[in-house]
Amino acid sequence: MTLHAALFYILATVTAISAIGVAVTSNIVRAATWLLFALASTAGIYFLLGADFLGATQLIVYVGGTMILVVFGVMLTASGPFVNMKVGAAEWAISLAVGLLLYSVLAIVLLQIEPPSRNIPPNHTLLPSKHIGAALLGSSSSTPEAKVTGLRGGQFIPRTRVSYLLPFEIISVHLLVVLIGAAYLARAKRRREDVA
Amino acid sequence: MQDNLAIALMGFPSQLLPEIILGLAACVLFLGATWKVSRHVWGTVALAALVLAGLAMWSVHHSHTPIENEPKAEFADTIRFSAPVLYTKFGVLFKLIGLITGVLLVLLGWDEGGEEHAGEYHACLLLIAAGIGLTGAANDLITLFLALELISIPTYIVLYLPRITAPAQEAAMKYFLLSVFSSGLLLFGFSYLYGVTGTTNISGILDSLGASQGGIATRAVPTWRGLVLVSLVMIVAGLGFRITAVPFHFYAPDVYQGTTTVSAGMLAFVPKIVGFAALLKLLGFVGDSNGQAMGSQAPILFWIMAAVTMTLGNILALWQTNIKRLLAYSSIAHAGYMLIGLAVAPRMTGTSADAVNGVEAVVFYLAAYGAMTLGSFAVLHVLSQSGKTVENEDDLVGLGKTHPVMALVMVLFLFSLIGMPLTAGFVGKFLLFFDAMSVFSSIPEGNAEAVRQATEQGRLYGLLALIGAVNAAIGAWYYLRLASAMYLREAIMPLPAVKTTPAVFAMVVCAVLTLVLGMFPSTLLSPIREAIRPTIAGQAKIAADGPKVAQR
Repeated sequence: MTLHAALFYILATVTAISAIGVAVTSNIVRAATWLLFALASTAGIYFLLGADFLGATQLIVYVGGTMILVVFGVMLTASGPFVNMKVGAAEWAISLAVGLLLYSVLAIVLLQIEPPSRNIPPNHTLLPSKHIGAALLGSSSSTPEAKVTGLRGGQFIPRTRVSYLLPFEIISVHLLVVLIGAAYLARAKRRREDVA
Repeated sequence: MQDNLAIALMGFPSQLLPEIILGLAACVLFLGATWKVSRHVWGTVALAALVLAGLAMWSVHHSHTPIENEPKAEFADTIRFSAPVLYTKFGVLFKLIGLITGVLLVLLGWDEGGEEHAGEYHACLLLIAAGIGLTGAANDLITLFLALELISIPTYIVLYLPRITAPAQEAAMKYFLLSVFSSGLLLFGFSYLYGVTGTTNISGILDSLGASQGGIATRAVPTWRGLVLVSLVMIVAGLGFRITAVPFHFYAPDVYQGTTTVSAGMLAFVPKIVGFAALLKLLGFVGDSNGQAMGSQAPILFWIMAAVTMTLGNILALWQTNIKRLLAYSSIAHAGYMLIGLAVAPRMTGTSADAVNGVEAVVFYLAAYGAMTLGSFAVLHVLSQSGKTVENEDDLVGLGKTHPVMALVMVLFLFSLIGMPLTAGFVGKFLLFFDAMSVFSSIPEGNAEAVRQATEQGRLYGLLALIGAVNAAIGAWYYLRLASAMYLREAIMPLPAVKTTPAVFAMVVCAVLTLVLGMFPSTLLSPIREAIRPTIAGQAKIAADGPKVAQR
């Protein structure tokens, strides 16, 4: 077993066990901690694949940002230190059945496929993070020359010089709207307390 | 080729000029609302922005060639397989629908909610209009998803802002949670699609799935078929929430009832039109492919969804006395009728060029449904403005005597929802049912086995048309019940007189659209046909692949 494979199996096991932990535990803080491990080991898998930008993003956004938010959310809204979510037996049975069904469908589908053929274009290298960042800022000249694969009989159409400025800008508009929505939610709450 | 690409990609933001204007105007409104509280000022600014966006669209129309008319095939292919947004006739159609919807919503929302929220409210409506246009133009999974979210996120605020009461908050929360869940499903489907094809470009995905060669994964590794089917189911589930198709419909009645009348009207129309636009794009119904990209199972899936959705929607609507709940179930039923078009569309390739194919019928029905449903919510909104909220069937009693004009307009919309001749609803239903029936008549010549199969399919689609017709009859019952309440019963407490507000104008526009689309359907049908039909080169390709489709 190569080092790569060994590391993959370790990370995969940690991810799977932590994910089950999130679903099984009824204490919300514990669930958050399990989620921390699940997300971090997913980042590890990204690093193992050489996608260091994605791995770093996963660590910063999910492990760093979302996790803190969850814990803060619990801290600010919970009445006691340990919130327990009671789950009835019927809910357990239904969600277990749905989850297992989805899992078996996905497992069957994924076991059927052959590993993809290694017809990677000759000049294919992994993208340095710097270039991705520059492309997000609209510098299309730093976008690496990726190819659109899977087209008609081995014909690769070059997908060059796409800047990700448009999606980036759309996301900024999303965030602006979310901020305003959040501000209204917070303000409405305060006003209601004033009335009461 | 490099130069061509550079020109093509440098040029792409300019075709988004209308959306950019709407986005900037939204920012101006968000900022401006902090120093000036006036619904009239911000409503006027929003209208001006929409008009400006319309002018920008007109100028873009004169400076850009739609990709279908691009003379150099290689150049067109290069753009198609690399640009994140495309300037197509389909996109232009949706931009136009988006702008008109935006104007109607701004007019309807003029007097909605507190005056201090007017700026933010109108800004969100502008972003929703921009999102509709962007969905029509998107040619990349990422752009498509962001465009859909550009509609969902402002929608949460539009639901939340105007009425801060417990039921409205519950409605907003319910919509928010389920919408986020459906977006998750959609992204999960997208990720599988990306995994199979290696690209996020929608044209590239359809090409690599063998859309133009009559089937799923003919070019990719055959065993990957399962992955494509999983992603198909996930995408249909994610978008099914937006179009209120049956397993994902259950939020609609509660949310419509809890929120304000205008927001309910918006929810009935906007998510539906973008949901169908995204489905049409992802399944390859637009342009040079025949909608078989995701496999021949897709029509069966849509057949079942159509039958269940319209039946359940109509039967549950029979029990409703709250008009908003009734219109919610009616919205579900209409989603079912539209799904007929998607189920039929892949079977209609290779039929004569004059026949309307299912996709055209779906787009026409969407526009018609928008006019009549926004119109009927507009009537309720206008009636509610003078104090008493009109929510229940009993509130409409005697309207024919007390408010003869309002009653007449409402009856027009109800007749259109039933599908009476001379209204838009009739043309839409006629086209859809006719399509389903004509699968039977387009049986190809050929060997006995193929003919037998085609006959069986024809029967199946004939049955679907029959289910649709029965449903239209069930639907007539509850719409006519409203009409009879207005005309045949005496009002005990008549509603106060109607104030003339911008919403009245929106209602009149909807009524005119309903009548015009009903009497002169070709005004809309011919642009739709032009936008949906494949180019001549594409038609030849599909015709050449036709026999393969029949064999599958």
